[in-house]
Amino acid sequence: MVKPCWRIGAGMERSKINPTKVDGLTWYKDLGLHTFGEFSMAMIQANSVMEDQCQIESGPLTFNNPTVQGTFVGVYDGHGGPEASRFIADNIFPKLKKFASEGREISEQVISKAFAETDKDFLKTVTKQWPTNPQMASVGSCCLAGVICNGLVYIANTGDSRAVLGRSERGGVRAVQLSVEHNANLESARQELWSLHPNDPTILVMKHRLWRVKGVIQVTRSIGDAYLKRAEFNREPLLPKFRLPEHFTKPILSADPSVTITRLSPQDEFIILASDGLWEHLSNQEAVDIVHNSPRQGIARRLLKAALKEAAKKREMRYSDLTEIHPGVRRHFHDDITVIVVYLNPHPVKTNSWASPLSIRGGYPMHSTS
Amino acid sequence: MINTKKLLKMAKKWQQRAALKRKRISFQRSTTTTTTTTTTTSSSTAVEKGCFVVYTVDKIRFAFPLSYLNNSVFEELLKISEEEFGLRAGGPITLPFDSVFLEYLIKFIERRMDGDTEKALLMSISSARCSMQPQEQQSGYTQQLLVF
Repeated sequence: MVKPCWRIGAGMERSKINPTKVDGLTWYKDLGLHTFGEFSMAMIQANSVMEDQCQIESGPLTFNNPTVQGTFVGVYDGHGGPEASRFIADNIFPKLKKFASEGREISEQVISKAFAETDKDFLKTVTKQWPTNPQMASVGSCCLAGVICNGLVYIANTGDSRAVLGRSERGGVRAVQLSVEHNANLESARQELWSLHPNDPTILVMKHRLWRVKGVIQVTRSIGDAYLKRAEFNREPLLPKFRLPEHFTKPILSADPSVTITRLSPQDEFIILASDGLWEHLSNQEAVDIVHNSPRQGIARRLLKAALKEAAKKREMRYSDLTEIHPGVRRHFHDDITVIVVYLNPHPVKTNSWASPLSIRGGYPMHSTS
Repeated sequence: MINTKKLLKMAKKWQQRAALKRKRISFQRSTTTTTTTTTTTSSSTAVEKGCFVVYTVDKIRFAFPLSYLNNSVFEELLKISEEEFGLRAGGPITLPFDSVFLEYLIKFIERRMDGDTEKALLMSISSARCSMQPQEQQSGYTQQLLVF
């Protein structure tokens, strides 16, 4: 058998004191410190090119108001290629900072504007590249962003990644879902699309027992996916499988995030943010229980392993055998998975952490042959 | 260039021939080599070491050595499964063929065919699965969320 020769790159780091590690197809940061506590990150690649991206940024959230300190966490689950998720990881946090600086604070509007402008700029890139690289029009990404600031946690979501809060309760911990998801297999997402497109009988199509928007995609909101937002891309040379038979005038997918705001209480222990690759194998409560009952060091990798064990079980194979499968063909066994666990302290851990902002990016550059 | 009609005919012929020897099989990895042995043991959900599992639309379970995942014909079979059923996270992989056809394909894979035969086989697989589509309803897995 050919020896595996793939790996995810070491991640981009701007902070040398926070090394991240790579083990085969897994990228991880077992434990780090953000403004309000500790965190742990892990990712695993299944596609031939890693389509998930993630980041954590901690420190000032504006350019002009040093008292607005906080933590920004992003999980970006790309599809059709890695370009959209990489674009989000490059752009959304600077945009958030820009809009937060205008109002000198974090708000729901600031976060929503950062999503909208990231999508708008990505579509500009698609337009620019259309003559030479038309398949960019079919690349998109889910975008889950969490901002912890001033005792509040903002969770903004476009797509089907998920954020779950662990709240301690009578000796245990209860899972509280903070994100609202947009997947055609959720009743709420279908109702929304049907009400937005009352005159389109094929807006949602059931295919092999799964609902898909226009029969092609399961998420009902996303960043990118230009071919479902602007009719100008619904033509050659876009691949036939992405072309819709009829012309449309109104965008089919939107990039608007659903935003929830939660005031943190002393009972709130941690938040798990992960791509759907994790949640299709672990329930909210299972994930929260694992975090509550395990040491903090390496908790994200522990969750990853629990999900992979479950994936192996469903595929009727051994976990040790699953880990031998190369990326690419591996997508038939599980999805790319990203998980970030952010522990919560009601107050900043130490004031001097303000002086050294933290910035960690996972999943980039992609695998390379060595 | 090989004529598509001819290929379709070939595929049908294979299916008929394989039908003569309809039986339930599973593959077990030998400890010293990656060659496979055919056994007639009844299907079980025991987890075979060094193997992955696929089901056919007639619900027959096949366990293959992991090395089969490096085979281009097998890779194509998985792609076809993805196109037909999507990437389902909630259960085992199902290929949109019946067991007879899969058994016949395996024989070809084991014989290590040359490049041209492999190309012809890949093309004929794509044509053959069209005739399998009505059977897709037989695979009874529950609905899952996935991928995108």
